[in-house]
Amino acid sequence: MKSQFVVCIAFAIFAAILTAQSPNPDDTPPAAKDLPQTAGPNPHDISSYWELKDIPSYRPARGTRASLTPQYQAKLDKERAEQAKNPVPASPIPTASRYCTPMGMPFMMGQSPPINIVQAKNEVLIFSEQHSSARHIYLDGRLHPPADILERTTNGHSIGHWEGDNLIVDTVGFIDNVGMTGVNGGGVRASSSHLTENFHLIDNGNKLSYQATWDDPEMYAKPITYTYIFFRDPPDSFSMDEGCDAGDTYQGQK
Amino acid sequence: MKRKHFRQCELRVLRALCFALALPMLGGGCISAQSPGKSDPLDSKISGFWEMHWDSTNAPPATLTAEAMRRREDLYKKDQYARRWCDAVGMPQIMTTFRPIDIAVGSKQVVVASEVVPYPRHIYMDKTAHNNPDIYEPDVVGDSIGHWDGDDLVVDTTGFSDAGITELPGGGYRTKKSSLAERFHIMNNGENLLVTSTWYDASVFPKPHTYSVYYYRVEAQPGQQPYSAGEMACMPELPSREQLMAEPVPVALTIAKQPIAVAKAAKSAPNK
Repeated sequence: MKSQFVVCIAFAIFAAILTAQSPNPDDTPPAAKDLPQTAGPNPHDISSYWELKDIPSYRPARGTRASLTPQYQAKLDKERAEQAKNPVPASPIPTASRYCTPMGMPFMMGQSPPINIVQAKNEVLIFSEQHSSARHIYLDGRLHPPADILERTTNGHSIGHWEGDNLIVDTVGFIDNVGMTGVNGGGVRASSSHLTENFHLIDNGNKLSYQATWDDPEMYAKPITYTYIFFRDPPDSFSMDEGCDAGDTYQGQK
Repeated sequence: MKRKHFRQCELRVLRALCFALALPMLGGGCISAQSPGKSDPLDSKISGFWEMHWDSTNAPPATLTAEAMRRREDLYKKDQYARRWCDAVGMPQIMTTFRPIDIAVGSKQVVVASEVVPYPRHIYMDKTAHNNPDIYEPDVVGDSIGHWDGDDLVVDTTGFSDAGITELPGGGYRTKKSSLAERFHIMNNGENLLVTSTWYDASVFPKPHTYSVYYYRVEAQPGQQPYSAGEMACMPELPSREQLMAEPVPVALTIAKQPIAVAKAAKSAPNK
């Protein structure tokens, strides 16, 4: 009798363990908002290779639709009407791809290959495997250069600081019409754009939450914000840069 | 008697527990001290913007193999193609451009970013072996691993391709068979950086070829902003760049049977 009781208890415990280990029946990842918000053991070091995955709440395909100013909307409508009459597209995108122009922001933060973040003492650098210049985020307390000496680039001029476990980055000084300029949700990166970003580790440091807010009074009636969730790649990851060749022979022009 | 024995056991357990807790802390301290002569590699003075001046390069003339001598003209034309189409230049040009380079020492990686080319150098500090050649695709900057020797950064690079601009200071070319050993050494209390490079490639050099580059730290002038990286706009679509392909090959490279040192003396004849 006693031995039968012991066997029953053991069986019950074993069954409980099996049940607890059963996978989610539909194998669906948790929504971004449900991920644990803990930063892990080193919340102030975001160095790693980070990768986006096609999970809707982790990288919204379109994001919140931009609220454009009437003036900018009218400009877009006019350009579309003219392009409809002209078979040659006016967008800079074909030029950027054909001639290996630096793609720049915001494209390099939303592309499919992993990005590489290297955090030094006074600077955070972000690299893309696709044809983009490095992002330099200065943490030494400097201000943006005055407009008359600011050298405009596809990534802009970025300064950052820590607020708790959040790396807050402020960027101005973008160049117009060079590289891939489209913003998630609508609008484009322009010389009048102002970008604010928030990087912070979640899910015990296994993921990086990235929030971008674009503000441009010439383009947006109100700022547009979107969020990506990056996955940390294994520690033995390494870069495999694209190696774009703009030569006619390579591009099949000859 | 039993009570005294029990307390002795407690003490033994307590001592063992204290030792077990202390050991990782001692070990961690020893490991962190192996980083560049300081407790934190992020304090390395190698981080920062560095530029070259007119006296920066010390590159003695290279001695080349007969095969490399025969190939010089063709390789020069290949480099001109890379220049004409603004290709990623790779090593060693990324280290010898006319714009400052940004070296950033991170916790696991040292990167060298150039304003002239989009692809940086990644020097992995947490690896002791190069990537598996079965999965690693050679590229213009190669596969670099590094370690600290005191405050010096020592780098070993393999996995080069032969794309981009391949010519080396002093002569010779980067090929798929090349490997490179470098030492980054801080001088003058952080105001200067000396990078000594030695190329190994039996197809090009009968003995390793060594040169050095002496960099100057880019400092902000009083009352000025610190230096911020720019972005060079090489525009391959410009028709004027086609002229690069039409330029004649330098005379020195067409004298296949003479060493480079002799060829330089014969260069008194004008060439474009």
